[in-house]
Amino acid sequence: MAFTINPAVSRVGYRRWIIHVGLFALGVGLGALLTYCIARGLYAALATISPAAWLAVALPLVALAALRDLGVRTPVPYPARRQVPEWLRRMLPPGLTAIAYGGQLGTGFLTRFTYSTHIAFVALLASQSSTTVVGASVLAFALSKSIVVVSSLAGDSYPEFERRLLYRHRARGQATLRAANAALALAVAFVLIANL
Amino acid sequence: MRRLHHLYLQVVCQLPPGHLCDVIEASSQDLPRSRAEGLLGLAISPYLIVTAVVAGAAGVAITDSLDLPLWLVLVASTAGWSSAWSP
Repeated sequence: MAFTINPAVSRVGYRRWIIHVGLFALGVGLGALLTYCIARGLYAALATISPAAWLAVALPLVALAALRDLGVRTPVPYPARRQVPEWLRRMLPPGLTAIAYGGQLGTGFLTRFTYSTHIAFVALLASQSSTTVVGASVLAFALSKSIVVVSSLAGDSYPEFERRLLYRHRARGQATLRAANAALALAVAFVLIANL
Repeated sequence: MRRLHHLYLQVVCQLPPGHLCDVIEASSQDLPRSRAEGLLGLAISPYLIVTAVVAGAAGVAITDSLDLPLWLVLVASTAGWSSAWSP
């Protein structure tokens, strides 16, 4: 989506682009809230059996995703390859594309999660009932997930934008980032065990 | 060499206050730097220190006042930010 929500690609001014970034963040937040509602419903249903029954669902999922981050080809409950649909940006105006892409990425289950912390986040979020806690966490998630869109700003010429994005993707450290995500996801799993 | 040191000291002593820092900064700007030097330089950047302190204080204030579970906020931010590096 960094290739789409960008002044160089959508051919809009910086002011309009800022609105698109806001719409993307809003979409991420709404998508995350939808996932929360589904996960919370499942959590509530399982809690009628036992408060700890959620662990039987959450822990294997977190473990599989963490193993995948560590390089093991484990099955995961989301598409491992599919990204946001390319055709959408040709069908919709930039603002609607931003909110649609944000919604899809925020939901998580409709596209690849990328890192195990996302599933750990959903697993832990489902155990929360406070509106403030859920709202603040979803806000933190939406804002941090929008960093990629904000940081893709690179002038209004496409060659300059493309060169900077390619430079960014040459950066090393992805394996370390994946390992750190796996470690944090496992730490969150222990937090879940301790709290339920 | 001793004479030169003496001369330098004399020149430095005659400089107005704060000017020496400007001279050093100006002369060191064009020096070639390694990536490690650049990173170490960041550690003493006043802007970075201020940003870290302000971000930390805001984070502590928000999580404390709203009684937020820190693990949840941490994992939410990591999940979001890490996806910036999706291949």
